[in-house]
Amino acid sequence: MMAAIQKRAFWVWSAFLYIFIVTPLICVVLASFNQESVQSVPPLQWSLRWYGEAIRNPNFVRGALTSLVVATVATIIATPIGMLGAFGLWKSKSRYKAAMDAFFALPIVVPGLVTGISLLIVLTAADQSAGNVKLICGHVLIVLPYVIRTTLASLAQFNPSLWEAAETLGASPLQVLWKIVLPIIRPGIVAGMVFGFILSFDDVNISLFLVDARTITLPISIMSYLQFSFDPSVAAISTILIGITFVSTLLLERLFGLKRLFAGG
Amino acid sequence: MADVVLRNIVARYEQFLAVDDVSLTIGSGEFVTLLGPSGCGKSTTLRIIAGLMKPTSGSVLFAGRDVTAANAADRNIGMVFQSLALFPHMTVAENVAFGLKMRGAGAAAIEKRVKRMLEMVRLDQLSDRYPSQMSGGQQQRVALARAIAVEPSILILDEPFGALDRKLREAMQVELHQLTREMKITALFVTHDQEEALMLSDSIAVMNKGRIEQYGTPQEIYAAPSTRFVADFMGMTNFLQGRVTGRNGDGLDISIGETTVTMPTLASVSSGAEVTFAVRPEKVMLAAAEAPAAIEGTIRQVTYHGDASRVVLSLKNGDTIVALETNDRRMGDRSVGSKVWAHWAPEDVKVFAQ
Repeated sequence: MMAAIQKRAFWVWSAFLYIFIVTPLICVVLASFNQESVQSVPPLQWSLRWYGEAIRNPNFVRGALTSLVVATVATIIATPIGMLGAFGLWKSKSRYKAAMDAFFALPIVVPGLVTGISLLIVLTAADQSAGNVKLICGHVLIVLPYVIRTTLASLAQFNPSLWEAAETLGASPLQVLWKIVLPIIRPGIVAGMVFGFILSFDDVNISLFLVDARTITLPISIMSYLQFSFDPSVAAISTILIGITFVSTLLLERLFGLKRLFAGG
Repeated sequence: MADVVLRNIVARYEQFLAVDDVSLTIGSGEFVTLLGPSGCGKSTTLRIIAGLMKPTSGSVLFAGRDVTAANAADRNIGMVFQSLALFPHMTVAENVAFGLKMRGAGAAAIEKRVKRMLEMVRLDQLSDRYPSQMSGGQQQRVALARAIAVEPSILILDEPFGALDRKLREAMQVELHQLTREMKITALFVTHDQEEALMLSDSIAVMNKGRIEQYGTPQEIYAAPSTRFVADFMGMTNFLQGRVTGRNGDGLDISIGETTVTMPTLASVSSGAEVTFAVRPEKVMLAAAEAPAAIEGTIRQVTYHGDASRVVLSLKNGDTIVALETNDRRMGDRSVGSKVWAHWAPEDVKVFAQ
């Protein structure tokens, strides 16, 4: 009897959580199909009109391109750094290991606002005025902790006997890393990259301080658009973002998640 | 294949002395087992030979060459790990080829060698499978093929059969025995299973508390354990206390309580000395009536083991004797509480001075 009640309570609670998470997303998607220029859920009249508007908006298009380039370049730069950091921490026997571990998580812990302002001050002092470079510096900091975290998590699962086996078979430490460790922990690294990429693409806090008139990211151009108009084109662009995120995550899970199962790693 | 020599190996982890002055020679083509309970230092010794760990002091020689400072990668060894450590992202063939690739062998030579190795362990049909798609026994054979493929100076096996069920373990033991003898492989095997050690080895080193207690052929270790620890570990599990009362031809008269039994000689024991002696449960015979040199006991417990029964006796002095009796030869009453007389042939007893 108790068990049945507990089970039901668990279901109700889970359902509540799911509704809490998913409802806003569903509302945005529904609102994007409005014919009129008001936000209403469900739409009074269905239409794809605002998708057209969003795609034709040059600020959104330029913003999307900038965000794409910045997130991609930041991920490409942060991944090898993060991997090396994680390998270093993994092999380290230092008594400061835990402290260093926490140190690498700082960009997540420190408010983006503070990071943004700090970077602005430093980069201005260094006379680095190109918006792209500033943005990429900031976004490397966004991606880095996620790559380190997921790489470390994968390394923690790594069977140390595999390292020794490769060693006894004549592999140098570098060969072991490259041919044994890296392929086995790749799903973890990719997960960190995807996480980091999405968060970089989404970021407002840090970017706010680093953009300029010529280089502006998509989230920021959406924000500035919202200051003057509140029509469903914002919902449309949000729906496109939700779609891209959803599909890319699904794709990577298929590509790497299933392959890992297959190889038993 | 080369001979391997350990000279005065000591390994210390902070305060703990894991290996305490171990010296050992493994002849070329010989199969040697380090046998002992967990924590006896056998795995540490193995890791030192493999080069996965450096000794605190002492040296390791492969074919006369000092390799103490060399890394595992430079020692030309083949190792089978307890967890097998097959590379999960590589096929069976790629696993076996790995060591050859690391040695810079040519593609054609690698392919030929891999094929031969997989034929040897009867897995040539499965070369494109991944380890996770294979049974435990098949994985075991891949690990073995991978270790032997590089033609190692020494094949090192770290309790490789521990995880297998009994039937599969026995099959693998037979296979390993045949393979190492056919190819004349120098091998070092580590186990805590004395049956496995007896069956596989040319020589056994029984280890306890970081030291080698006895080094000898399986026959020597089994029949003539030199210390109480070895006797106990090799299944000579009945230990009794007695006092030497005199000599009797080639043997000693030893009194246990009121009974005097004759034991084989032990030169260094003088009359009046306290001794410990050991006898295997399967060598203890039980008689229904009093006989000379038989010790009276009361049956406390009987358990049935199929071909045999295990009978636990309490002696008058409070000691316990276990007898393993073949069921079809049993005579007399074996119910709990009944009296029996335990006796044994003098040659089945091993006497240790105290």
